[in-house]
Amino acid sequence: MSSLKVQNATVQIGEKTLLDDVSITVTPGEVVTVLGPNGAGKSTLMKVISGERKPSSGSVILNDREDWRLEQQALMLGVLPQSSSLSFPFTVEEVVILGRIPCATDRTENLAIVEAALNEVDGLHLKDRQYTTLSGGERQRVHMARVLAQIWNELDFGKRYLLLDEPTSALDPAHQQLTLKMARKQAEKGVGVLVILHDLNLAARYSDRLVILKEGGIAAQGTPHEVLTVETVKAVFNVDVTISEHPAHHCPLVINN
Amino acid sequence: MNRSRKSALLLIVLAVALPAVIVLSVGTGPVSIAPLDILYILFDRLGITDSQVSDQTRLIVESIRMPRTLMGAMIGSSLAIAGAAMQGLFRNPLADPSIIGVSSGAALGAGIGIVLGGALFAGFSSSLLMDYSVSLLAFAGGVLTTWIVYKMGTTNNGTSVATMLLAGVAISALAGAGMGILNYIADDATLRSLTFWQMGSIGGANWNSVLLCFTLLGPVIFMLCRYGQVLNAMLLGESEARHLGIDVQKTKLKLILVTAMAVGVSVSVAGIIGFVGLVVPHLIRLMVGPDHRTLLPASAMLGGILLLAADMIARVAVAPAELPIGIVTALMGAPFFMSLLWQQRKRIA
Repeated sequence: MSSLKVQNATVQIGEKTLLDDVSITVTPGEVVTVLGPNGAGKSTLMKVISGERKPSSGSVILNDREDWRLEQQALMLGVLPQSSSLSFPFTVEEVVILGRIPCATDRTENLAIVEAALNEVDGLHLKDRQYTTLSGGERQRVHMARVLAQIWNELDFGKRYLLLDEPTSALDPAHQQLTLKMARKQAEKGVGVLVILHDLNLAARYSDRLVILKEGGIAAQGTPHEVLTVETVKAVFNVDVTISEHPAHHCPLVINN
Repeated sequence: MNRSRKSALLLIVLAVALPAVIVLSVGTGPVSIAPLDILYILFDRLGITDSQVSDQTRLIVESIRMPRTLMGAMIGSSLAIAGAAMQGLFRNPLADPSIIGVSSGAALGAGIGIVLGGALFAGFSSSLLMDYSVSLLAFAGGVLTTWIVYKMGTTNNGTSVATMLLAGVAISALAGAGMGILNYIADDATLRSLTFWQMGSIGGANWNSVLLCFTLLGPVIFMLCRYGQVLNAMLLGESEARHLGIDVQKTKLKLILVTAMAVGVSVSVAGIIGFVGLVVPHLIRLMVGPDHRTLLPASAMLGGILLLAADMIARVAVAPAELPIGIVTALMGAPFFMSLLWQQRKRIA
């Protein structure tokens, strides 16, 4: 079956172990959220999955294969990094259409996809603005649209996946909700979504499964109900919380004591 | 008018302007020659017409002005397109071969070639073989310096302007010292050619150097024009470009080699002609934005135009003598660079 699978990935730099025997699977149609304190190895995990960093041992299997060509991988795997530096005065439309580089569609179709992708992130009104004049949160949404545009088309050779590294870090509450709703919508379309978050409640509300990393290893993995317990949160994040149930969504609700 | 329309229009305008400026440049000088006569001379050569243009005019056009103009256009194009590509590679609009020390590195390579070559094959000093070896040494110097500056200054967030400029200062100082040694050990004849060449001039052009430019720079310009979309992706950052399916390591290596070739060959035939690679891409970006698919070919054409304009100024400003063209481009480019620094001073600090 198609999936994005990390098998026993370990990353070592000198004496330091950044990632310690981590195995996770993302299947198409689900949203998996990675949580963990700073330095737990979340971004390293992302880099291993996207192929940016070779693991010291272990492997990443994308739709049953390890050896995709870069151009093919780009069509199946969209990656939103934590922050992007772009200091040239592109318009927003020009930035988003860069996401279509690996795709073999013509310009008219690409422009339509750019509009649709911008619409998904509530950014259509930014289309003709100059990227360098945008606020941090607007930039983050523009890059999100770029990554959406990249994996817009369904493929005949494999399922698609989205890796989002802290997509909500610069966003206001309304756009945080919007972004994760968008991630859910992608999952409903058959995309496998792996997202790194810091907000436990956002994670609980929008994820099918949670993976909690601590010091490079997996501390807990399962549904939000299974994973978000008073003990686990205390052990991993060193905060005392009360766990209740969300009155409307029936997901765990984490309240700081 | 949207940017893609503007881009198409700009490319057309430049494609018309470049040949016009070439004709103008051939006609300009102590003896001015009418554009029509220049076309007649060209058509006579091709056997299409048989006109009454005087032999003297013919001689001036064919052995002096024509090679000089063609070489100037090629060098201007190469320097401008190399600047544009380098700015994309470094993700920094201030990267220019002359500012970050690549030209100095190439000049040292070429200088070694001129001095040692002069000693080695005395008597062959203006042979085509010698020209090619000097170019290759300049190319080697250019590759080495680009690689050093890139290594020193670039992280995943782009190139630090400060590190890049300081690396340029350091490399230029080192290369300057090397040139000093070469000046010291050179014999009188070599010293004289070394001095003129260091100031930057296309006055020494002959058909050999034109041949060299067309065989080495022609392919370079052609290759760089095809890197538009790749460089656009590189502007997002190296990891982002990789996520878009681009083999970043291979691309970087190729770009460093090709831009160093452009700079190295230009420096070897015409000395250090600074700021063309900075000013031209900047002007194009102001007109049509930073999309490299337009920026690269447009820079190539405007670079040729601008260098020929500078050369015409160099020829008429102090006629009948002439200024080295490197001085003209520096006089125009350095204040431009300072104004860019002024605009960006907050970001740099």
